[in-house]
Amino acid sequence: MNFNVQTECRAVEDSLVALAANELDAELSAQLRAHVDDCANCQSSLAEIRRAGLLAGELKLVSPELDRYPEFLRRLAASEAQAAREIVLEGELVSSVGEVLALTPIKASMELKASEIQQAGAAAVIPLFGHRLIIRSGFGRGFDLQVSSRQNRELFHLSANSLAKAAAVVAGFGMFAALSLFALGMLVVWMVRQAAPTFSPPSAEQIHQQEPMPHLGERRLQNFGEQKLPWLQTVAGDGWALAMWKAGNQVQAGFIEPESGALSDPFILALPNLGTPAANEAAESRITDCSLATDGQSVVAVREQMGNVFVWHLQPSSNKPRAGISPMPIVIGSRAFQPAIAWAGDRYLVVWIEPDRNFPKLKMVELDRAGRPLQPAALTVAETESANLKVGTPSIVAQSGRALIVYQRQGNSLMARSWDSTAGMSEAPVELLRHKGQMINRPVLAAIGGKFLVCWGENYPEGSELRWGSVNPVGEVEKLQTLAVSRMPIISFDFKASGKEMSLIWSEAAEGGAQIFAQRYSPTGRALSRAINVTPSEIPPMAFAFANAEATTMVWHEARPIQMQSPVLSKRIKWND
Amino acid sequence: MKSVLKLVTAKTTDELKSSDAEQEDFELVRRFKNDADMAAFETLFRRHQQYVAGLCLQFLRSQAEAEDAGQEVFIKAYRGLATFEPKVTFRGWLYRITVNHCRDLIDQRIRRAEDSDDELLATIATLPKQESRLVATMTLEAALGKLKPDYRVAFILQAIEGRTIGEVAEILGIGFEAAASRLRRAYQQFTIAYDALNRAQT
Repeated sequence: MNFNVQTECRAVEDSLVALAANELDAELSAQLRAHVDDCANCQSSLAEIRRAGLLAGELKLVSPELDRYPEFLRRLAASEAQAAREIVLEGELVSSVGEVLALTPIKASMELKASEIQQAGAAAVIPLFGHRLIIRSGFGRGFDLQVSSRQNRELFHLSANSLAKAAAVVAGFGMFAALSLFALGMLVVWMVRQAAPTFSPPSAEQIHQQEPMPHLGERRLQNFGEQKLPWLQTVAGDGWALAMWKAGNQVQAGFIEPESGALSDPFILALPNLGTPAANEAAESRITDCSLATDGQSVVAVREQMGNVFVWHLQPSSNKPRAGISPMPIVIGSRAFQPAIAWAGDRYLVVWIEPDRNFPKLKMVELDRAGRPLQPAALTVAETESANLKVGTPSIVAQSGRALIVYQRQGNSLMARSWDSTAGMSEAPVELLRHKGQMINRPVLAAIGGKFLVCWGENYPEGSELRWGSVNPVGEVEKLQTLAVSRMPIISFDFKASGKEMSLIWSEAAEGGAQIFAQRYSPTGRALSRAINVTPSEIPPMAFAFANAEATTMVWHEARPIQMQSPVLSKRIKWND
Repeated sequence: MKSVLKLVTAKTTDELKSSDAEQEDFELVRRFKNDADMAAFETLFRRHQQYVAGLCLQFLRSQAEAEDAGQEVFIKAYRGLATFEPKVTFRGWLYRITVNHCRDLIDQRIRRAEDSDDELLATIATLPKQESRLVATMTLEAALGKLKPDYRVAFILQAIEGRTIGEVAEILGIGFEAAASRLRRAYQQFTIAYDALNRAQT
């Protein structure tokens, strides 16, 4: 590179950012491009800028929509109360007056009065319900009591020249001050009580103002060979069931007909516009954890996308969402991964992992029936106590105002903490059990008759097993039992429990593809049937689950070659008696 | 091509045209300043709280800190509204308060050595390989943390928030060329840091 080109490069290098951001007009852009086309260094710099811009798009975080005004009022009141205490207690009344006056619009007359006070004696200025209470003492030369508005309009003024009058003024002021302080205290108490957040949920118009993701239509499947297994989840309510699965770069869902077990036309779980094309592009390529729960009438789905937890409220009664896309979600948390949700009888509970540098935490937030947060901040359920005991992969089950949160801790521990709607979180997490093998995905939790059931799988070098445990509401393990054993690796499983029985479905790796088995058990763990092979077709499934709480229907996602549409199918299970 | 630098400044950001929303903001500010109308301030608060919260979150990368910072910004706005003149938009004025406040917090973090990424890097190293998504996100966060505060603020405003270079210059109170230069260095440092972190993990 000769001297002239080097000089040019130095002159234009700062312009490359504007060029990459398309902020130059056509003429300037053409001139700069002409140089870049002939300069390898500038080409490299431009490519670096564009790459950094794409990466930066993945750093966009979405803030949850909350009503922050009550908290603001509380802080403002605390701040002004603190300022008032400083004025009265510190004894530097003169300088404090100047400081307080400096905070508000000052007119010349007020400043003049401040200087008069300095000459005459001492003064105090107390903020009071948006006004100012000003007391001047002339140390025997009289008293002056004034109440003025924040805009320096005098509302009340009393002066006294004699000692008797001054004493009367002081007594009157004392009574007034006492009453005012009492009223102020009552006001602070009332504001604290009112500080419980009241949410103004966005209207349907506000939700739908956001543009849907521009990714409608058929999409090519990704190659899942090197990625985690795709998932499929279901939730069942009063006379309906919903399945949700990963399909290429989208999350899709469909309702399952209760009689036939057939799946309706799927709809896409819409994502909000993240603001920049790079962010949207990055979001499309990330399929992440999703969890479903129902109050019996509607469904709340939570999903993590680029570290934000989104919540969708889906109404089975309103049939198919418009244009094949679900309603827009709301954000309930940022810097959050691996969410799980459960319905606790009067609210939803959502748990997730917050990275928090090298000490991840398990957090929980409560939502109302429509998926709106009931608190401004998430509660900490568990913390990582040391760098080699990290917490992760939470699961949650809830029933009638009680919940059990189960999570994994490094060192082969399965931990639990219970929650009660009146008593809150239990005193501390407890270790449910220690597993020897490698955990298969997350434990699946269920609730029967006031007890919680935990079903998990472990893979060993010599085989696999599926186990379950019964846990009482305070988190004590009452029973542990093995449900199924296999010499082949177990890939995934699903577990459902009702008052009458428990049902287990799992897949084992085999030559030619996975085989799926199902078995039923009594609530005490006694097998009610032998394991039956329910592999639905010759095409191995990518993911499967029980379609309903009664475990009479299974739904699965077929694994087909790339570039072919991979359908989600369902069928009734024929249990052998 | 000495003239190229001059040409870069020829295209400046368009001045924000007054819109109905901005006029409404001015009216609310006037009512608060002249009549001590708290309802007017509440309306201003509710109109801009999400905007401020989102901006704090981009800078501070922690929701708890962002909520705290957002409240402090509005306290400052409440106290400083007496000096607000309608030469700039209310949102622009609030934006500058937010940027300055978050910039101060970042500086404090650095002084308290809380912004060290050594622990973050240790965490990334211990994550299971299948958590590739988490690793990638944390690596990006670590790379962002490597930027000097001046560069980090400019980078967040332009590359993440999507501001134009002219808007970045206006918000930071620097010239257009200075903003472009700062951004170029920020982009450069970011990619160098990101690549170095990725190499360290393999």
